[in-house]
Amino acid sequence: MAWKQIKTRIIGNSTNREGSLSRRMLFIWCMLASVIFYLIPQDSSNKLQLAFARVFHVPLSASRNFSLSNRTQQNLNDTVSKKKYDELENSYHNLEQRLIKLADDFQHLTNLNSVVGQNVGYILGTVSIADNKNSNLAISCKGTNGLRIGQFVLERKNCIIGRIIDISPKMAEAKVQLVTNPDSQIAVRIEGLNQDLKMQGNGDGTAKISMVSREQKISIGQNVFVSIRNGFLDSNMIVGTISRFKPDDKNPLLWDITVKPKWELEEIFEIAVIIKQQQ
Amino acid sequence: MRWIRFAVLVCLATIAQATLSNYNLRPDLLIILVVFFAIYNNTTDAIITSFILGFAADLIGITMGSQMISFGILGTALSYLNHVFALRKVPYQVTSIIAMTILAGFCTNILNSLKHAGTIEFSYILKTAIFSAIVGPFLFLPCTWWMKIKTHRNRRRY
Repeated sequence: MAWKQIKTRIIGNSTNREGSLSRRMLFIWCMLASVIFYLIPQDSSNKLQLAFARVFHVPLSASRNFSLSNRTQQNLNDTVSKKKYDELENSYHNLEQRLIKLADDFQHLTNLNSVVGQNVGYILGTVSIADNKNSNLAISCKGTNGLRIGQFVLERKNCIIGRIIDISPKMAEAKVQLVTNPDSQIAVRIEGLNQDLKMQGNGDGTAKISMVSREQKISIGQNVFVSIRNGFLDSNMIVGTISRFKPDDKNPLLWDITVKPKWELEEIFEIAVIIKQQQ
Repeated sequence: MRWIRFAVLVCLATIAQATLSNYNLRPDLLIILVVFFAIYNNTTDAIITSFILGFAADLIGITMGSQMISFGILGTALSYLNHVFALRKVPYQVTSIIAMTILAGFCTNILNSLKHAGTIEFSYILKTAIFSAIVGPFLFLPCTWWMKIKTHRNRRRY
């Protein structure tokens, strides 16, 4: 009624003209308002949208929670309890660490293959007990299958540290006699000498080589290799370097050579047992 | 036209539409109302309601203005079309809702792209149109009751 009165006052008496003109004007004004809204910057128009969200915050959040809860109910079978979630998360972190370790082992084995040769295998292990006094190690392996007494043990820097002297299958452990142990006697070769020699531990972190003629040219820093003649090896492997040499007190015609291993016992945490594969 | 009732209806529809935005498949309640008011009201009211519903759609949309222009133009055009064809039959209403949803989506996309704002995929518009067409005629009944509109008038209004 009020609308009709306004129209009549503005337009006049002609019903047809008044109606169409009024609608046209109304449409134009509405379009103008729309275009203004369209042209105002996004930042300003966002304020209107935020104002709407603020005014109708309560019903909007209530209805949204309702719809979300409905949707969550549908997916309930895909969820787990907090307890189970924590359990799975811990397992995930443990598996992640295991993966890192396996990647590390893989890298180690790849390096060993390139260093030692193709006809040997390895069993990786860790040092359980390091007996510095007796120059022995207790190592823990993933399995003792394939372990034999006399097999050589490498440390991480691919240097021979000793050989296995005892195996405990039940405990999945083995005892390693270090090359510095006084009871250790292994065949070695000095770099540049074509002669197999015997190296015996001194018990003080070093080993000695005797029976080397003074005619042989020896120098400090020469490498000493574990000889292939010991068995269990595919090629000679480094064990240490000559740290001192002097004429033998008992037999002045021979050299008394002291060998210092290329490893420190305190730094050995991971080892690899060399297993020569059957041809 | 009962404007207070209309305001309540628009608020409810806008809130419901904002809630339905959580779902992938949803009817466009505001377009359904544009068609409803274009069919069951006189042209003057249809123009005003179309622009107001467009404004409401913009409040929960991407940018301001684009849907207001689209809804306003299309709602006005549909209202004038209602003078020529009696759109009170359900098949016509269904067709109107589908056409309005697609055209409004198309116009809004053009206006949004001019403003470098986000656009809506056509497949999504089509799905919304079909879903709106299915739901629309059923929503007309409570709307006519709420707005106290007599639906049994078959004569054309000028």
